[in-house]
This record gives sequence, C-alpha cells and structure tokens, in this order.
Amino acid sequence: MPQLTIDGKQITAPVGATILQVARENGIDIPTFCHHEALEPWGACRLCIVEVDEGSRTRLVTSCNFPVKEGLAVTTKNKSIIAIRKMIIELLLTRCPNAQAVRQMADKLGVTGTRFPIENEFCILCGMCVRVCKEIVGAQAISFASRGGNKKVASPFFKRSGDCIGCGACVYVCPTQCITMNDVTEATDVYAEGTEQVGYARVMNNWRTRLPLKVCKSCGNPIAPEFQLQVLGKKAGLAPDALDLCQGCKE
Amino acid sequence: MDNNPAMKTLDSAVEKYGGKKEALLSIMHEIQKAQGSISEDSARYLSQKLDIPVSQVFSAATFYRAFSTEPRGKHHIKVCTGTSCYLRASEKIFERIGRELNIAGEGASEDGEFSVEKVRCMGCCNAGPVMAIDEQICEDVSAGKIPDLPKQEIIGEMTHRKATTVIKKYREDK
Repeated sequence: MPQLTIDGKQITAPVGATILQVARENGIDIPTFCHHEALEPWGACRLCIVEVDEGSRTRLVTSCNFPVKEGLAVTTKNKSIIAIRKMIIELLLTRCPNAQAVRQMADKLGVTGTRFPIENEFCILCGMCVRVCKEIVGAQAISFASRGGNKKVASPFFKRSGDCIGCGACVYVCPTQCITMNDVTEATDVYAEGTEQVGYARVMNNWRTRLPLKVCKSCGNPIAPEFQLQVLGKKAGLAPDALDLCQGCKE
Repeated sequence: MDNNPAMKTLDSAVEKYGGKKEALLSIMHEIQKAQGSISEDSARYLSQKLDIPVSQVFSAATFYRAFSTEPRGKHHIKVCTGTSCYLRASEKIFERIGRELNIAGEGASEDGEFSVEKVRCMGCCNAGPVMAIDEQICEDVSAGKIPDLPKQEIIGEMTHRKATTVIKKYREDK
C-alpha cells in the first residue's frame, strides 16, 4: 500500500488507485469535467491537474489518470494550478457561455467573464457520451468526427445511426445536458404522397435517430424501443417473448 | 452490392490485408486511392466486412487529412498553410488556384478534374511556399506566377523547379 501526501496530509492509498480517487475519498476537492466513476479515465478536460513531486522535481499532471506511487507528494492547489484552471474554464466559457454546468464551474473557480469572442456551443467535447456508448452500452453508435476546431460528436455521416439502441446513457452522462431525447406518442413519416402515422417512438435528437417503441401486449402502453429490447434480450439470452409485457402487466 | 465495381475494389483491399481489423487504416488508404474518397457506402460496407462499428470508420475517415468523405478530383492539389508557408502568403496561392479552377474554398471542380485542399506542413518548410499536385511536391510557388492560362498550363506555371514532370504526367493522363 503506497504512502503519499496530498496537500500535506499523510495518506495510505490502495494499489492502482489514481490521485483523483484518493483525493476525493479523503475529502479533497479537485474539479473535473470529463471524469465519471463508471468510465475509464480520459484526461481531456485538464481541469484536474495537480502538481506532483517525485523527489527530484515537480511537474503538472492530470490527477484522473495518474496512479499513486510510494512517496509521492501532491499539491492540488497553488498559484500556477489555479491560473491554469482559470484559463481552461475561461476558454470553455468562451465556447459554451450558455451551458449551465460551465457557468457554475466558472463561478466556483472565480472566473466571471471571458476576454475572447464568444461562441454559442453547448458541447464541451468531454467525450463521456462516446465513452459510455462504447464502454458501458457496447453499441458504439456515436463517435467523434473531424478534429481540431471542427471536432464534434456525431452519429456516422450525420445520419440515422443503425447501432443506437435508444438507451439514453449519453443523455444521462452529458454534463452540459446538450444531448436530448424524447418519447412521442404519434410519430409521423412524411412522403411525397402524404404522411403515415407510425405510432409510439423514441427520438434521439442529436443522433438524428428515431426508434419505434414496443407496446405492451396486454395493456398497449409503450415499454421501450423495440431494437433495444431485441439487443438486450439477445445479450441476456432471454426467450423472444420474454419482454412482451410491461412491468405493470408482468406483476 | 457485391457486383458493384466500387465494392469489388473494396473487397480486394480487404482481402489483401487478410480481413484484419487492425488493417483498417491501410485498407482505407487503398480505397481512398482507388475511389478518390471514403464514401458513405464504402464506409458502411467496410464496417460490415471488418466487423467494426460504422462510427469508428467514420471517425477515422474524418480525423485524418489523408482521407476525404467528399469526392476528390482526378488531380488533387494540396496547398500548404503551415506557419512557414502561411507567412509567405500561401493563402493567396490558394485563392488564386480557386479562381483559376473555379472552385469555391476547398473541394472539387465541376468537371471532377481537380480538387484543392489546404494542408498543414508537408515537411519542407525551407522550400516554401509549397504545394503538391497529386504526390508531386512543387517548391517555391508564388501567387504572382500563376497566369491566366488554360488549365494544363496553370499547373506548370504555378511551379518552379518540378514543373515539367507535373505537366508531362498530366498530359499522359489525358
């Protein structure tokens, strides 16, 4: 069990833990934007930088993916760290001036405004939606497209995703709530000849995907997207008719 | 879909690398070379063949400048806008080429003969401003040296030292 100090506090940490985990367990707050306990560390937002001293020299590292070591001395707050965090949040505030989570974090870090020309984005490219879709759901329906200033999260070719199961995990993890989905009772297909009502559907607004909802065989209420039930049923090895009833009718 | 000639080149590219997932980028290079772009159909077909999610193929195709999801012209012109070339007014060269070939911004000309693209650094800053026609690097280009001439001559005049080889290649292709 490695011994280390964080902000002068002597701590014994479990092997393989990251600085961020150990700090949070010991009540030391480090701000993060792209970290989630259920996901692999990513190190994209850089807000969690800390200074580590391994004996000979100090350096700045991202605490979310830096494993603890014997004799490590960590500083989570000093002049240069605060200056860097302020700069990062100021740039995020420039990109997403209307995102609530960004504003709150800016407020917390004492940044009131930005000196750069503002944009009106909501996505901070933390990659949590992409990662949850890959690591937890396993659908890999969405990915990053392009790079640099044009980088964005998108479904393949900005069209309907054939892999999306409409689980809403991406909606749940998104820190800025810029991914939305909603269930509609009367989805409509529009053709040149006219329109067709297709009934209950779940719409994933950001991924341009609409999934028909399966209705309960007994009461006729919508349960979940048909494709999702197919995929999950297959994964769990259930009988094809196992998911035909809603929770209420099953009981 | 398998009878489509475009998909046949794709099949042979996949075959060449033994259908391995790791060879995705190599296979995409082959497709880009043969078809001039990674089209949506190709990407979807490839993802099926290699058992990779389409999102991954799409991500790779948009990330690397070597690939393009939009079709490229028969001759692809890359204008360097890296720091060194940028300071030597490579933006003007880009504008000039666009005017000559009737292309707005990046993209392909109407007849599908040419396409232009801005790239960052081609690794020969000492010879800048540089551009590349197909794989041929043209050194010390300047906007003033691009006269109003028919297309095949434009390419020659735009370049200094390596001009002759480019014209020759272009005429042989024609």
